[in-house]
Amino acid sequence: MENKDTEWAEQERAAFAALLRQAAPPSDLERRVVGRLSAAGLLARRRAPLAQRSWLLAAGLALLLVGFGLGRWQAPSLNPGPMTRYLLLLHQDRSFRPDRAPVARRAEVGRWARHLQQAGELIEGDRLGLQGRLLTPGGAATTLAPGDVVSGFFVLRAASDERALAIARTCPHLAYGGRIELRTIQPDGRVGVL
Amino acid sequence: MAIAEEERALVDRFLADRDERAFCEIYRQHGPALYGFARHLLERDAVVDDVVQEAWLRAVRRLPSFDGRSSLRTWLIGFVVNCCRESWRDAARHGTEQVADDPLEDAAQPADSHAERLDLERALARLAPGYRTVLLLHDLQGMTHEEIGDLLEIAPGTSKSQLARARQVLRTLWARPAHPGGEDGE
Repeated sequence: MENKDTEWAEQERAAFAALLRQAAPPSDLERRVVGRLSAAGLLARRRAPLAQRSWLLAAGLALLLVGFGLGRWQAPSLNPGPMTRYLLLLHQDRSFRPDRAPVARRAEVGRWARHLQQAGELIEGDRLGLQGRLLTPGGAATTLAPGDVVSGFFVLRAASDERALAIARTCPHLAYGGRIELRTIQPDGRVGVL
Repeated sequence: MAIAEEERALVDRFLADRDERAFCEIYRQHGPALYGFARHLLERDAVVDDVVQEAWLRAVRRLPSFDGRSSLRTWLIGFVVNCCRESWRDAARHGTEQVADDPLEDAAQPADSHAERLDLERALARLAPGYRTVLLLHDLQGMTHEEIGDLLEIAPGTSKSQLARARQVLRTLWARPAHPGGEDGE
């Protein structure tokens, strides 16, 4: 039971209800939220409608038959070219100057990631907690030494080392004094069931 | 099917294969309310979009832990509240916003001046963040004091007293509509 002295009158409640109706989200916010979730690997890609998939299947079969006819059939490649995966590790040490609020920085990195994802060059990425454990050969777990922590990562797909380097140079993390470590992910390095 | 069951089914459908269509359904059901809430809770329009996006990102990450004890709307609002509070802390740390030590200090000043009476939206923005949060959760989102207490980690009684105080202060700031329902032309 609320205090009757502070209860809203009917016309005041109507004003609150109107307030809710007035604050409609921007029309493109849904698209941006979906893009951000996709970039973070939290959404599966939307499948093409059935009719479109049927059309693509028919087109693929037609191409296959033409290929056989010419005697030059080749297994269709899943990759558009000789693409290599690269790992970007975002280091945060004393040179890091977070002179913008975290929410604004994340939004900036999010826009960068979305752009790459739309270009097909970003596979995944995420922020990492700044606290962690370092396990020694005996299994003892110690806390990470302060100073230089890896605060996030991105996995890219790029056609060359130069292209990967060019992408890394555009990462907003550098603008805040952060450092980025660029590594290739070895194509034959997949372990067991992973 | 009851609303809670429908919500659960939709969440499960999304979690089964991270289906974008299922997410868009969730977004369309709750997105406008979450945005409206953040828009009124934050005083700075420039950060609302970012805060709402961040809240969705965190909520979807944690969606597997949604246990249905509260409604999905209430659960999602919790992420918006936390992101808004972070935004206030960031702004205070970076000196882009004045956060009053006394949560009512700012709100109490224009109370005596009719000339400075404000419409509801502007009056809300003048309330101190803590009071505004409780008032919006209760009066705009319809949450109970128990739910507000769980979310803000305060006792339900504290939520109740903060709401009463917030309403009192808001009344002194708010130039009420002259005619019932007449302020939005509907």
